Amino acid sequence: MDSAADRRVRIRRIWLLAGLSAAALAVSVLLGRYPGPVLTPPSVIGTDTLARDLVFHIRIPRVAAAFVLGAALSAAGAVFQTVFRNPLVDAGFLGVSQGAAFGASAAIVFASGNAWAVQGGAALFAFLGLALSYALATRIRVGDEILHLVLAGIVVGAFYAAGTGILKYIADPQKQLPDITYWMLGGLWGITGRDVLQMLPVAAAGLAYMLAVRWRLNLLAMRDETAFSLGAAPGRERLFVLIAAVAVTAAGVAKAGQIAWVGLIVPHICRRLVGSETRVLLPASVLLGGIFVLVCDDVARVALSGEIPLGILTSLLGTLLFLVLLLQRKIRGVG
Amino acid sequence: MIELRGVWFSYNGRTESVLRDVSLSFHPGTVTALVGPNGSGKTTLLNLLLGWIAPKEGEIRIGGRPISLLSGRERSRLVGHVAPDEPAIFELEVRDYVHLGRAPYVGLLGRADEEDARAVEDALAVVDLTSKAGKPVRTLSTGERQLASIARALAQDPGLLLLDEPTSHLDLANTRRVLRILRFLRDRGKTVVLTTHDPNTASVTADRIVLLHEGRVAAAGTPAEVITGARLSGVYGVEIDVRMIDGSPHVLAKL
Repeated sequence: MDSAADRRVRIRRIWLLAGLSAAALAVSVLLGRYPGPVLTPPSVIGTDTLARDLVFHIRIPRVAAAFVLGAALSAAGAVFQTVFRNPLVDAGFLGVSQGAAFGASAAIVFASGNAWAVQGGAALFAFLGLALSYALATRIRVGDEILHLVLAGIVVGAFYAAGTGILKYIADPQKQLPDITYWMLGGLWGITGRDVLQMLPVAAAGLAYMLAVRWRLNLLAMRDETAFSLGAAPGRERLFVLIAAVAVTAAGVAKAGQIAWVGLIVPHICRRLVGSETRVLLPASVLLGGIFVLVCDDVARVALSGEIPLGILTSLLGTLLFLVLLLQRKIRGVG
Repeated sequence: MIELRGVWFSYNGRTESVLRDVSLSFHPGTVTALVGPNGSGKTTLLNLLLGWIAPKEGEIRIGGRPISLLSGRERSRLVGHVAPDEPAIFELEVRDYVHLGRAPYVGLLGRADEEDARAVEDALAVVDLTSKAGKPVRTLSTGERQLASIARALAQDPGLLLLDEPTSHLDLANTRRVLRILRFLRDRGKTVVLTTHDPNTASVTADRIVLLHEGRVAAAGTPAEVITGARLSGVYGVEIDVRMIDGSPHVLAKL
């Protein structure tokens, strides 16, 4: 197959993912356990007031939140993996996830679990994770800038993890410790339209920025000198796109808690579908990430009468898919 | 023309100068080889010409303009760079990879017009990789990857092409391919500057050799002028025998 035909196939696959996204969004709105399990017939929405309220006030916000969350996490994962030239990284890499967990835990222990404090704490410490990693990276003298950030991220992540451990140790085991554990399991229960509106501006702005610069991510994946020779400012461009990736991650985890594996596995599946060129990889990751979390959340809320935490499902499905790719030798990295 | 005047350089936090009072000029249609022992300042000099690092003292001008005043886009249309071991990221295809060389000309989304597409195809043809254009860079041999990097820099269409140890990982056949490409580019009027730790590579390829020793220019001139047994023995600290083969000096370190 020549390059032009190959490119057409990739573009077609992105359109296919867009169609699947629309279908998944539409079907998900009709999935639930009222009036009966699994599917709500569209006709019922017109006649049953409770069903209509459920769809408009609970399901649509939740479906939208799940899609945006998945899109944000997997786009951020694709950015992290490309910028750090490493196929095995996601938001846990720069102390971002650990920072969010620490911030949320601190809010649960010291602010009585106030919802605003939990979300604000998670977002604040996720960003602080990035800032600390960058600040520390400038002081490391071994290796190139990427290695500086990798080492700094490991140190900051471990520091936050230790802090979260202390918080768990001092937390009230009856009230606060279960809250911390539950937040860390991750889920979208109780998401309202207001939550979605709070999450959407940051997520939309971050996603728009990452999509706008998606071709230039290819440049940032090269050696810094090479990217510079092609007119890029690798340090500055990398920082801006990482801020966008952390912002969308923070916006998502602040509302949903820890949702693991999405940022790692979805970009890998997309590379199999559309290749590694970031101009097509990013849109594919946005769409497939949205579908992935949406489907997991549908299962989380419909499969049992009680809700399964979303983070458990994404981890379970993510690890299984990762194992399949690993056994097929489809996880590919540098050189 | 590219000119360095009285350039001194030391890395941040270090007092020892890596380059000391270097003044050189590089002309279109020439291949210049920067030669010297490990740590003599070859790569540092190349990075200064790229504008990646700035001199502590002195100045560097390209076409009469200080390199520090050029915008990223302006500079990248003038100077191309090939690193010794570019990582092959994920599975980017060769054509997409070479297209990255058009970054100084295309918009944010990298869309190629006819001229961009032609520049990419020309670059692939020069390095003889057209038949592998649809393959992932990762699947290429080491030599072919180096050729792909050169093609990427050629697609950039710079007047000055900098190559850092372009043949250090290559076998004889691939070394010959790369060196012939460099001479071809010289004949098309490009200014080519390469670093090499192998004086023989420099001798057969370059019109001019700059021998660096402890950050200073120990000698600069034609291969026959620079490559002498006495001078190289002094710089490398070992006994060196120089023989003329086909008019070029060749070096043999005595054991």
